[in-house]
Amino acid sequence: MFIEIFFFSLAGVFLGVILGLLPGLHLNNLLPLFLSLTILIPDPYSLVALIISVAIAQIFTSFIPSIFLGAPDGDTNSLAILPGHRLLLEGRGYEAIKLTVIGGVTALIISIIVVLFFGSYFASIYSLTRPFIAYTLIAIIIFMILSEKHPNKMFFSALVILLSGILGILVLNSSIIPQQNALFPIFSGLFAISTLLISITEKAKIPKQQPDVELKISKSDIVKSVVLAVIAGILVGLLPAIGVSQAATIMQYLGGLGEARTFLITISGINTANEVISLNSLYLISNPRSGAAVAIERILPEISFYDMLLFIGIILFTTGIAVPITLHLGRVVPSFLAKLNYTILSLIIIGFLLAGIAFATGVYGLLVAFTSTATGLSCAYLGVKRSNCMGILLVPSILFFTGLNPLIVSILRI
Amino acid sequence: MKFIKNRVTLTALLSSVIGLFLIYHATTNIEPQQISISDIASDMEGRKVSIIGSLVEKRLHEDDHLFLTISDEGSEIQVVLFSDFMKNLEKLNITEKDFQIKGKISVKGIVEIYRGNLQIIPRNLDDVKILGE
Repeated sequence: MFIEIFFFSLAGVFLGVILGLLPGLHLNNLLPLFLSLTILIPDPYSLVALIISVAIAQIFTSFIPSIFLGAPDGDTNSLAILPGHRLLLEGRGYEAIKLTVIGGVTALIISIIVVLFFGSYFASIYSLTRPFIAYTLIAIIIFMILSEKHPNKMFFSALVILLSGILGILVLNSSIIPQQNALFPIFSGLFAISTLLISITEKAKIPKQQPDVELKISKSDIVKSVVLAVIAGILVGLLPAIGVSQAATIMQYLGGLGEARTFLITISGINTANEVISLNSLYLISNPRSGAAVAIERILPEISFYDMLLFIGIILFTTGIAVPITLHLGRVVPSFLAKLNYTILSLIIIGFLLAGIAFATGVYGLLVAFTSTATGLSCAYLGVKRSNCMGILLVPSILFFTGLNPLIVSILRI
Repeated sequence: MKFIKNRVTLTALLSSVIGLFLIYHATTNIEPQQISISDIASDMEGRKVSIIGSLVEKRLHEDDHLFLTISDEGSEIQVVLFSDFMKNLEKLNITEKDFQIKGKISVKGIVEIYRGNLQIIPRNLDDVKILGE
């Protein structure tokens, strides 16, 4: 069995690396295909190894297109586009990738230790924190508005949160586009297409990348970012309706992580910690918390402590291979991009994103992308923080946790 | 509008509002397809569907969520009315007791998968209609 698991994990890393490099494609899109493989692959653990290794490898490499091309991968790393792109345009593209790897690996190891030693308390954390989520989210929105300081900016901030919040309520509660792909046009518009359009109008260029690999961040900031990432990742892994982007936004404000480098470490760490918790949620809280966990539950209906140890082993093995691949790509890709015409490259990426949106979500998806892009551009031109666009998830989450969502949906008749 | 001087900013803002209006118009006019329960499959997760069937089983969870099992042409699916939804239904004088076994019921809602099983989650209070025997 060991040999099979080993080879399926390797195959999973390969698939995960490719999946991570293709914006808009996610493991969840492939899960029905993987589940149909149960006829061809009789050993359930081999299939589980494949799913886990794809899930982990994808996290690391998905930062390559989001940082270097400005193309998001749904909810998980779209907020990394702006700080990552900023570092790329400063000639520090490799440092941006290195920071995501540092955050990802460190948070992954810490969250594994937390799972092994404190996993039995997770069920109580889940029930204790849930009642306070809505209040925390409301406080974050108020803080987001007040942090703009100038009254005009505060008004603009509230306006952007309102516009994006309405968009979130409409798109996430209706059947206008398939829910499993709903975040793709939303985040592409808010963070990717709008940023690329601004880069085109400002005639931005990718400069020659600096060869030094020295990190321009203090050790204490790395530690702080990772600790916050692990806490946020555990909450995302346990709580429904809280995604990586919401948690990253919360940590950005609570932890004062506004700087690009600390934010990249945090968002990557949240991703890996969340994946560790989600993949082990079947054993920890007897409840699948991600698409991959649902698929694993179908393959292995009973999860024992030793199964969880196997999952952790596969996670660590996959990380060990995915990290050097990601770092290599992080070194090679920006130097290659610097040789290209950035305006043409941006137009190609926008075309690629729009084609992907049309394919995955149809005409209505393009309408959602158009509205999201306009909202993202409004936010940028009004001169307020782009995280205000996270109203798109924060407002629907507040309605969910306060129990007001059915009433609002009913009033809007969507 | 005095403080929004830039024409580009104003265009972006207007585009955002017009886009929201169009999306709202589309969402209110898209009626979910009425289909047989046997036609609901896992690849329909996230899509809104409409079904009509008989109530074969109901179970009130300790947290006040109501689980209804609806059947048509030999196939069954679970419909989940969460406690918040039930509280809002009660404001319309509809309680758990109004859901009679063998009674006809019409449900519109989002297809979701929970622990490997398909479920329909109604969002709008109008999505659940008790049609009688």
